[in-house]
Amino acid sequence: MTEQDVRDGLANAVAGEPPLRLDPDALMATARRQVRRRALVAVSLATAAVAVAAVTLPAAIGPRDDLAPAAPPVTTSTTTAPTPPPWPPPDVEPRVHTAAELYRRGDQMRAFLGDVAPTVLPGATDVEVAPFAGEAAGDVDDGQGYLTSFAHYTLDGNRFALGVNVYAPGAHSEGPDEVCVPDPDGCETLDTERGGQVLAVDVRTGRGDPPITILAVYHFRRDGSVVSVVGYDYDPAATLPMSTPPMPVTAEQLARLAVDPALGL
Amino acid sequence: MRQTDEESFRRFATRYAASLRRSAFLFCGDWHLAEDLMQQTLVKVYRSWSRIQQDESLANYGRTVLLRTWLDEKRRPWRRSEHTAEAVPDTADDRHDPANGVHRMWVRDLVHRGLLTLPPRQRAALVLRYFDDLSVAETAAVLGCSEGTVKSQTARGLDTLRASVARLSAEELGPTAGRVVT
Repeated sequence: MTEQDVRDGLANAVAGEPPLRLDPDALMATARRQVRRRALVAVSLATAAVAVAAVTLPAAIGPRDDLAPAAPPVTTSTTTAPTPPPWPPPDVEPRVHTAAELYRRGDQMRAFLGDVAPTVLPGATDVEVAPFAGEAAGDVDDGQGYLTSFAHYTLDGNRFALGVNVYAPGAHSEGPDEVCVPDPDGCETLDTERGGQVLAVDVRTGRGDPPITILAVYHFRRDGSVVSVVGYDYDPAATLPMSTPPMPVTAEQLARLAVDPALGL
Repeated sequence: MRQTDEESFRRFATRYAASLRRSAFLFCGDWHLAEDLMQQTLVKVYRSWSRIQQDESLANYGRTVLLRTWLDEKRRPWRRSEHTAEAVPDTADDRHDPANGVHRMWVRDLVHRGLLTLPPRQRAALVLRYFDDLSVAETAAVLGCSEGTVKSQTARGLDTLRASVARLSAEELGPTAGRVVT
């Protein structure tokens, strides 16, 4: 098979394409909605930060004279439109790793997961952490911006797994609001005080046959890197059971791993 | 976004939507998903439009966004949990001309089916080099890697594709190779 055969084959593969349904106006309306939603997220985060400051600052300063006149409220005659939090952060510095560096880092994270699993997953036995790699098992390329692995374990006689995905700064193009797009109601912000934003995403609950549950927690870090830890109520590497047991991990357990600096690129 | 920006984006979307969807189909093998990927890509490009339209290689920027969108889609937890990556869904081809003969369908099927068995970045390298006709340097820019990596990914991808097509050929020809049609 020559290179020309490949060219012809690829060209012919799209010869039967269905009609294109493109409505630029609808597409731009969708994009505008997303921009507005990002702005709302920014407002929410800013409000949360102000609330935290309002609660913590007086406690840090100590008791104050309740009879002292209160400072007048700060007023302003103009309002500034909030800037949507960009993702990746504007000052992100992409890190490029060689395949050898990625293999070494993967080995470190694999050992860490093996060590920490009994703590994060009390009662888990037969923990097996797969080597971190790319899309193909065991395959890592120079400059690859991510690593993934699965940690398989047994709990109460059932086999489960956690998926662990780590992304270098700038390598995860979707921001906190975008990972929630498939099901915005399933998203929950767990914590914003651990060096970034932690989101729990109820990816899929009770769908399929048998009904399966997948729970993902993303840690969006300030340096632009991302760690996602995904809990399954079955073992994705094994044959799907006739019925699935209750979800064995909570979002908080997954978050403990996602925010741990031992995981990351 | 300013009115002039909206108009220039509309021109960009109208011009490149079809080619982005074709590339997406070659990546994923599913026209429905390809349509979604194309739409997601254009939405992302729109959000960055005022920043990027000074860039001369807008088309390649769109390809980069498409590639990342597809890779992100593949890495989503629910995709990782499915074992359907190699399946090629049936797609209606009501414009296909039977007179073009069996050979065209044969080549088309085998090359694309073989392509879908490759690791994603090898698949992307082949599509960018042999479908989009990008140079090694342009492909490296889209993939975000060195030119050397593009060359190695392309070479490995071609080797794997040849092996895959040979295997698929043998599987399809095997049971019927000696059959006499009367």
